Formats: sequence, structure tokens, C-alpha cells
Amino acid sequence: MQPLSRITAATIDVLSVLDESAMPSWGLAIIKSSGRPAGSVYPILERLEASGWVTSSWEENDARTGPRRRYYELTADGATAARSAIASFRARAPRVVTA
Amino acid sequence: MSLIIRAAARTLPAGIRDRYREQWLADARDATEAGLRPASIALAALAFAITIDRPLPSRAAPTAEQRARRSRLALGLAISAALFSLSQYPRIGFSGLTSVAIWDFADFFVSMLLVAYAVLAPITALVLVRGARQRWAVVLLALATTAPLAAGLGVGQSFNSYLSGLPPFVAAAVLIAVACALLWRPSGGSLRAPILGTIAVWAVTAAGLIYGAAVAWPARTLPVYALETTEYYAEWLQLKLQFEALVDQTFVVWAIAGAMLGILVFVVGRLMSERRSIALGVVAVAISVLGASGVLGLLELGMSGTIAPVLLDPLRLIAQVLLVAVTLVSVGGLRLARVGHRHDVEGAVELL
Repeated sequence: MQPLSRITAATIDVLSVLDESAMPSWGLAIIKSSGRPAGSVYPILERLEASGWVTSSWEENDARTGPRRRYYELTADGATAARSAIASFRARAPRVVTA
Repeated sequence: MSLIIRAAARTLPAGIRDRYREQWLADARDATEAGLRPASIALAALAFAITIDRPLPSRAAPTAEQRARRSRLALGLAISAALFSLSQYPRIGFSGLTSVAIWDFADFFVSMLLVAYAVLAPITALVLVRGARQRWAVVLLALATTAPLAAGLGVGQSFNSYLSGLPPFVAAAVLIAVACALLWRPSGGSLRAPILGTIAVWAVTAAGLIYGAAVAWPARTLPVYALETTEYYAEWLQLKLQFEALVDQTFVVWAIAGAMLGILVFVVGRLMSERRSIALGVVAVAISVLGASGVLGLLELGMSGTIAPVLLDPLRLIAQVLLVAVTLVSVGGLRLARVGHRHDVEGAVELL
């Protein structure tokens, strides 16, 4: 697994969705849950996968015909690194003080 | 949406192309179910295709195989451009051909593409080609490609533009023949295919000439004395003589073109594998048939005034596009199917 050259807020959002999910997540579900546009999420997932943080696989649903969905999940090393990155990012992020 | 996604996926590196195409198509199909717009998936696919990190082209020196492949492509580009230019001779034109407006536009558009190709292909070939002999051959072929330009400067300088435009095309044919001779090397392959191809081309040309003569020449024996010696008779006689002269010139050009095409099939065919040589022979025969159809249509225009000549330009253009495509495939080594890819191999026609 390779370290990411840059970790943006959008990357953290995607990592958070993946980390919170116990099962492999469908790409569109990640888009929906992260609240980030698809145009941001697809490149982030590609970067995470190329760096070994995430692995992906085709759905196994014989009932559905046509093109298959792609499911993503953190690798073992990726999960550790993701939690560290999320914690580090949140620690550095400006805190919002509410009354 | 599907079209946009497929187009975006097409631009991706080969290793990830199929995967993202299928993933995006599935996502676009199910976007509504996830509460998203399918259009956002298509736009995301486009953005992904534009912004994805692509591997840098290798800086390593090309291998011997790559150099040989580039050189073959260069020769394919140069020969196809030169042959296209040679095939422009019939476009010199003479007054009296009928035309169709819609066809004129399509003809203009495709012709402009081919002309642009004829300019760019020799330049690309000069950049790609390796080896002294091959370089000289490409230079000669590039010179041959300028035949229409040279003819264009001469056309209009005399009454008969066919004759004034002929020398550059004859020179181009000679240059192509010399280039082919330069490229010739004993391949050890069978001579059967090139010889059969040459014979077939000559046979088609000869058959067309004989048939054309059988159609055209009896018209000259019309009993002109039966007409009154009037102003109409003088005009008619003048037109008849002009047409007969045109027929004679057409027959001469037809015979020369058929003979040279046959020689070309033999010379170039010897440089190729047997399969490619057969492909070249088949295409040359097809071109001969198209040429024969065109000339016979021309004769028919003068004989009975049919609309057959309307077919001349489409036939000519089809033959030219075919000529360029097949030369690129057979000489340039371009492959229509990529072996090893499941979807491409199934049902694909292997020309190489």
C-alpha cells in the first residue's frame, strides 16, 4: 500500500463512508452517503484503489441482468490508514463552536 | 447517457476501459434508484476520463520491432496517399456531366477529408520511416502525391484538359512504380497470388475495353449522310466528333491505368505475404470493375443519355476510400482486430 500524495476533505468523506460500512459499498451509495458529486468520488476511488487503500469487486447478483455494479471496501492496511487519516484530518480541521 | 459513457470510457487506458464502461453503465441505469440523476453519472464519467492520471509514454528507445512497424505504417501512408492522388485523374472533368446537389456536398466533404489525408500522410510517413531505401521510396511517393496539384496548374491551359492534365499523373505513376521497385526485396513468398491478381486486373480491363469498344464503335457508322446539310447537322457533327475523341482518350487512359494497376499488383504483391497479396489483388480487381462501370456509364451518357453518370462520382469515391483503407491495412500493417481481446476477437475479420 502506498501513502496518498494528498488527502482532501472529499477524500476524508469517502474514506469515512467506507470505514463506517461493514459491507462492501456500491459506488453510487458512496456518492450518496458522502454528499460529494460523482465527478469527485470516482477519481478519489480510483486513486484509493491504485494506492492499495481500497479494493473493488463486481456484484454477484444473478437476478440483475446487464452491466454489473462495482462494490468497494477498504483493505486491511487501508482501513488502518483511513482511520488514522480521518482522525488526523479532524484534529487539524477548524472546530465549529456552537452555543 | 449510454453514448456519452461509452465515449468517455473509450478514451481511458486499455487496462481499465472495460471495467469503468460497465461500472458507469450500471451506475447510470440504477442512478434513479439511488436518488441521483443519470446525467450526473455521465458527466462524472466525462470528468473522470479527462482528469485521470495517465501513464507517461515510454522514453525508452523504440525496439527493432517497433521501428519496423512504424516504417511499415509510413509506407502504407505514403503509398495510399500516392495512389489516392493518382486516382484523382478522372476528377479533371469535362463539361456535360450531370450532378446532384446533395451528392455534391457529400462529395466535397469526403473529398476534402481525403485531400487533407493526402497532405498529412506523406509528412507523417517521412517522420516515421526508417532506412535509406524506404526513405527514398517515401520521398518519391510524396512527390507522386502532388500530381493533382501539378495537373491543376496545367488544366485550363488548353482546350482538352484531360490531355494537359495527363503528364503529371503519368509521372506520378512512374514515381510510384520506381518507389515500389526500391521497396522490392525477395520475400521468398509465392508468386502465385501476385500473378493471378495481375492477370485478373488485366482481364477485367481488357473485357471492359472490348465491351466498351463494341458499344462505342458501331455508333460511328451511323448514316450521317441521311441528315440534311443544315446548321443542325454541323452542330451535331461537331458534338459527335468531340464525343468520339473523348471516347478514344478515355480508352487510352483506361488501358494505361489497367496495365499499371496490374503491374502494381505484381510489384507490391511480391513484397507481401500471400494473404495480403490476395487482398491487394481482390481490391485491384474491384477498382478495375468500378473503373469499368464508370467508363461504361460515360459511354452510355453519349450513346443514350441515361443517368448512369450520376453513379460515377459515388463509385469513384468509394473506390478511393477503399483504396486508402486497404493499403493502410495490407501495407501499413494496421490491424482491424486486436488479438487477445475477447469482445474484439469474436466475429472479427482478420485481414492480416
